[in-house]
Amino acid sequence: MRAAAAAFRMQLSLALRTPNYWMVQISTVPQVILFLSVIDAFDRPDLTTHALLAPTLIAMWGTALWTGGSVVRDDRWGGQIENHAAAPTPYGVAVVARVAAVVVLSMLVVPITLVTARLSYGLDLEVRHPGLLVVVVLLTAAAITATGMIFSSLTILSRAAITFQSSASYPLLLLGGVFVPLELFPDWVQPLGRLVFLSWSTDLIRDAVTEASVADVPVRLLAIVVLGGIGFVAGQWLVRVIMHRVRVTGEISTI
Amino acid sequence: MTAALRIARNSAYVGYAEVLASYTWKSWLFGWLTRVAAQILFFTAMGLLVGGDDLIEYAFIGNIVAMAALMPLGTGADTAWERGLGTLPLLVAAPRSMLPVFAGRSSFYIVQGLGESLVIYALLAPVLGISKDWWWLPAGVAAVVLGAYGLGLFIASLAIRKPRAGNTTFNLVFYTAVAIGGVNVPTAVFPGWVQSLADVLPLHHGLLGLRALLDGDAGMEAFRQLGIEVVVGTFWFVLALAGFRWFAEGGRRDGSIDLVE
Repeated sequence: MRAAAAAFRMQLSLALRTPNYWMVQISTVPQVILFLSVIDAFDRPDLTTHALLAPTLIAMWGTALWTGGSVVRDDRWGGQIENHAAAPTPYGVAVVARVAAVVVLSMLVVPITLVTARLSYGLDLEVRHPGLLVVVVLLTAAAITATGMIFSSLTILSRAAITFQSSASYPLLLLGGVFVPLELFPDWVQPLGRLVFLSWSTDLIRDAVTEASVADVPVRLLAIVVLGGIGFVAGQWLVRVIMHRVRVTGEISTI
Repeated sequence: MTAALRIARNSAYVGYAEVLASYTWKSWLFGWLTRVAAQILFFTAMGLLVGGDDLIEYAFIGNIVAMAALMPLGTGADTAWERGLGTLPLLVAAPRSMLPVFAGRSSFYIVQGLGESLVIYALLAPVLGISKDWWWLPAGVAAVVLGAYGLGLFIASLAIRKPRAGNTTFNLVFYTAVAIGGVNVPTAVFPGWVQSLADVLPLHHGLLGLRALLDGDAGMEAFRQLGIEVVVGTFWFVLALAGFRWFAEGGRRDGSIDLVE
């Protein structure tokens, strides 16, 4: 736990003084305008929540994937990954703590999105259930951090894996109903989408903002926790297996 | 001039070799191309919620072209890779301008962006039921990737001073061009000053010309718009020339280029 806290603090301090870690927050501004311009052009003010949720989650998910991959890549370039292989703390714990730090920072996109909407289209978001919204956003951030590890682990195995890692971004955003709710997709897509925690998060966030009464809250929150938990266990297991493999084969510095 | 061209040619070969080394056919097809296709489908799918078939078709064409522009526009961020590879100090120390190095090295992205957009159109257009005068696609996309290439080089000239801000600058410019450049909605829906900004960024004019051609309207206006897109790219290329001279080489003289990690 102390190692995780140290990794978290180190990444936070690194991110605060490295401009490239702010790319997600900064590019959220044009992304918000992109989605708002679409609903404005088709005169659909009822979709404001959809248009504000999409850039927020694109930023948070993108942060987890990009940082997870870049942490491993930088450790490889810096010759740190060998030290991690020898250290008693599991590498997965260090990476997930570092990704958690930038996912926490990525939550700044929530106020950035709201301010951009106010300044560009004069929109104010009224939230019907602010308490529920906060809980869902925090659980979603945790699930994003945990699940991102599945894809980061692949970058330990191969330098080329960073290409596969980035391929996980938009398919999951699509299946997660980040802008278009899952129920509008073809029937065969829906069971697949329900396996992605984002689909539960996005439905619940939209309901927390717009619906007078939100149904089945405990079950839906549990779905995010369980799927995020599965992502965490799978990600940590993958890192352990992959680190063991590259240690045994002696390929850790050569792949 | 001859030396600059020789440097550009050799750099172009390095860039080509680098792209080939970055991918296996599996990582290109199932990794990169899948990611690009998924991003295009994500924005195209907006039509399921709003705008219907009109938006599906509009966003499909717009996002294919935007993703073609992604790689050449990302040239600027490559300056950070030079730092990672340890070659930036060598480029700073070399007597020649850095422009031919970056211009040559990223020239293959023009080919890559063009080729990938055609492959993705061929794969996805039949699935989405989109039928257009597709044979105009190479001409339209070529104009856009040239426009993006010019701006990408200008970003490179800025990012050479601050490589750690290269990705951020690129992302801000790319998503701004996508938001206002007529990718998902026409630029005309924005206020006048935003339209003026779109006028000098890649995508806007190229997409106007390409959409007209794809709809069977191969008149002078369509080609004029494609011409303007290339002029926009040339404008940024000339600024990149000045940028490398003023920012990079000025920084070399006064030691202000950040070489410290």
